[in-house]
Amino acid sequence: MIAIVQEIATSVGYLERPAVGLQLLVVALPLLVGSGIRRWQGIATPMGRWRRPIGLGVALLGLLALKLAGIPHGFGVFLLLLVMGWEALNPLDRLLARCMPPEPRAQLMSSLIRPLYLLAAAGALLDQLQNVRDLALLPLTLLGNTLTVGQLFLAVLLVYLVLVGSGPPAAGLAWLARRTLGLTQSSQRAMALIFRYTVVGLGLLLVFSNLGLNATAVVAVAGGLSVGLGFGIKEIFSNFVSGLWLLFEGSVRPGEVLMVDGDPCEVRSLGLRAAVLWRDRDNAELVIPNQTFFTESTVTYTRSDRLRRSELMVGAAYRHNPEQVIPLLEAAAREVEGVLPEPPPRAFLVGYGDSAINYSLRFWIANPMRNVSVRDGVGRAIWTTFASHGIEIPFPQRVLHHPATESGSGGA
Amino acid sequence: MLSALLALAAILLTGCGRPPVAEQEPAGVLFVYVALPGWQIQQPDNLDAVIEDLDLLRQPFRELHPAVRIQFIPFAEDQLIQQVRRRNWEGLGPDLLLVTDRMARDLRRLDLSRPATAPAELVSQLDPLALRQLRAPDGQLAGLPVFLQTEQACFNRSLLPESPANLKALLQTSAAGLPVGLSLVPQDLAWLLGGFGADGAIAAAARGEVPSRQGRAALVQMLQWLADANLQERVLLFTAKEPMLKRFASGELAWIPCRSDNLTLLRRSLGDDLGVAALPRGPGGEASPINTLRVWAFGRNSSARQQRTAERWASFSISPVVQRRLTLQTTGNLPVNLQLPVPVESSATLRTLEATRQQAGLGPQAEALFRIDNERLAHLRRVINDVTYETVAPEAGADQLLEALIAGAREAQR
Repeated sequence: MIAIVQEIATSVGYLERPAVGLQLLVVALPLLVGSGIRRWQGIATPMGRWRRPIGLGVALLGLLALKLAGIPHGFGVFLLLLVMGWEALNPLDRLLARCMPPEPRAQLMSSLIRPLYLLAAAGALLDQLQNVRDLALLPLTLLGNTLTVGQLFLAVLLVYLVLVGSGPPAAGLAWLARRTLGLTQSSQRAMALIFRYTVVGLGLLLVFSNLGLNATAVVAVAGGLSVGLGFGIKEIFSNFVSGLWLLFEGSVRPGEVLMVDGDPCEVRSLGLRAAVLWRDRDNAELVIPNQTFFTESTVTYTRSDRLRRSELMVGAAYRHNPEQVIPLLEAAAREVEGVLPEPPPRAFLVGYGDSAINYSLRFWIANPMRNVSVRDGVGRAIWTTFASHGIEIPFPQRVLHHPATESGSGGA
Repeated sequence: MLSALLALAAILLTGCGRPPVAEQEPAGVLFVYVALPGWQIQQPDNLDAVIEDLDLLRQPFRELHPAVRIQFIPFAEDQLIQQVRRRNWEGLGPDLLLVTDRMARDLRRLDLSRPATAPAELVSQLDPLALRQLRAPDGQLAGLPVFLQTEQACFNRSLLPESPANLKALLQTSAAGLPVGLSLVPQDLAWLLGGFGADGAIAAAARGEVPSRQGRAALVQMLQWLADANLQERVLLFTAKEPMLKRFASGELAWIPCRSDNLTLLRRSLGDDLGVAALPRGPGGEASPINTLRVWAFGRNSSARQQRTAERWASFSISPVVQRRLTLQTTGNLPVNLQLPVPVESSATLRTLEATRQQAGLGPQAEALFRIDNERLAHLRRVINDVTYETVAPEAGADQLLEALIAGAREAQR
């Protein structure tokens, strides 16, 4: 490894050549100055958005001047092309924005496209200064195996591509599976994760077998790891295995709604270590280790279907006939948006309270996350209906028995 | 941004404030391109062997001048001109190139290198034949000769006590059960021409002249011998050199033709079992091996300091003491400085190489073969393959070879 670094480091020897220095100056100076034009004395300059094109244009003119003067300028042209290629990624980003949602697009750009461009640029630059094919043949020893720098580089690149780039193909396969097999959306997401893990696993196996890694050495490393697993990283491993099990079992999948500390939360993602859940009431995201779901009981509203039965308690004054109140309650609930017609809302007399007869109005909603808003709607509908039919919701009441009044003698 | 500007200025100003030219000690980084056959580039072992030899020139110079770093960058021979052209355009061209004499002339002709310079007293010690190959009409040198590589026979002493002295004995060796290898690459097959007296015919055709009837007959005889040899079970014909060398190094072959630049690698595998001898003579005369001259060409993009360091190192490499040391330690590279004779008494290998050098000179077929362009060379290779595998008769094959050479030469002359 030191030999490789030394080989590459000798490239600084080119800097003592005046032509190379001139080219660097001609390309770097306008771009650096242009980058600084954004603000002048703390105020954004009108030509701020043109700073980069101006810088590139000046650099181009500088290279033209070198050409006319008969000075070597190809390296400057190469550097300028690299910079222009980088700038061209911005329009590509805008193009992708037309057909991709923001989050996957941002991840694609930041995890795949830009890093790949930087890698290709670094490789091209190295090839200008050295002979990349020769560097790729330099030998390395890894876990008792002799391989070349080129092989190791390709292996690392493949692993990275598999880890980062396996998402979209896995999502596509899962979408296809959903269309052909009629899966639910949460099953599709689970399947996408499973596909992804499978692709990553197969990719890693392929890379290791191509590298020809010594199986004995790998087993030795794994043996050492197992001790670590027993002590330091057992939680991590436990979470990883829990996550896999949950995926296969299907009990906790993206899209599911679980009750966490009394709040309905939607599972957004199931990762290698933890699941991310979204809590509606305060827009919080909860990161819960996978093994929590594995070892504790979980309340879910979406295991078999997404229906949730909600309930509202209301009291009506004793003087109102329950046969009149109950139909009014059911009718009020039926009118509210979000309340399902089937199963129909049902109201029940559930008790004789101190101040009123207690009724329970039970109704079904389609989205468990909307419970609060639908209950609010039902509550208001009840008030309106009661008000229009003269049904009283009494305040807490006390009946005072005055001894003098009860015995018939006069008195207040 | 300000810090970036300051860094850039610091880099550019590092060249200022230097001591006077005459007093400057060699220093800095030299980028040396090493041109090698394509197959050697792809094999790390082969590359290592080449660098190991070149280190015998690099290390002593660095011991004298520790501030110098010399970096070897290998390139395939067929890619070199293109790479140098591109990198010269970028200002990242080499300071020195280690190439064949023909490539040095091509580089100079294409203005991709500058004339070679060295102290006159050193140049006067060099092989005049080698200098003649490199001198341009204006008297300037396209390159500075460094060492000579010869062509000879390599044999495995543990399988074969002595190398066959003639082609008949070679075939008898294979008939006796010992496998021998032959390369069908035209440049590696050229040694056979002299054994049949066909070298003159090839040389004439490569000049654009129709060869004599005897010359043609000799060529037919040579091709017939190749086709007959192919019928023998233990004569293995290779369309590329690298597998032949590999199998010889692993002990599967008893005898192959080889070049002296392969000896370092072969010695690693075979050790003292590696034997070196002259190539077998044929019914028509002695074998016609081809010497290869390795030459320093000077790059065009060097800074003043790099130019001085390159010239100092190139001159250092052709000094008598360094040349002698190179010869003794590699026993595969012969010196071009004739001030000190080759110490043939110290090594049978050196004795053989020196004898081969005398035998080959820089004969007409060498010049002829190296004047042929790659496309025509590929055509020659196909014809040789066809004759060897009897899809074309030797007479027709000889005619095709000669026609291709004549046509190529006349095209080049237009």
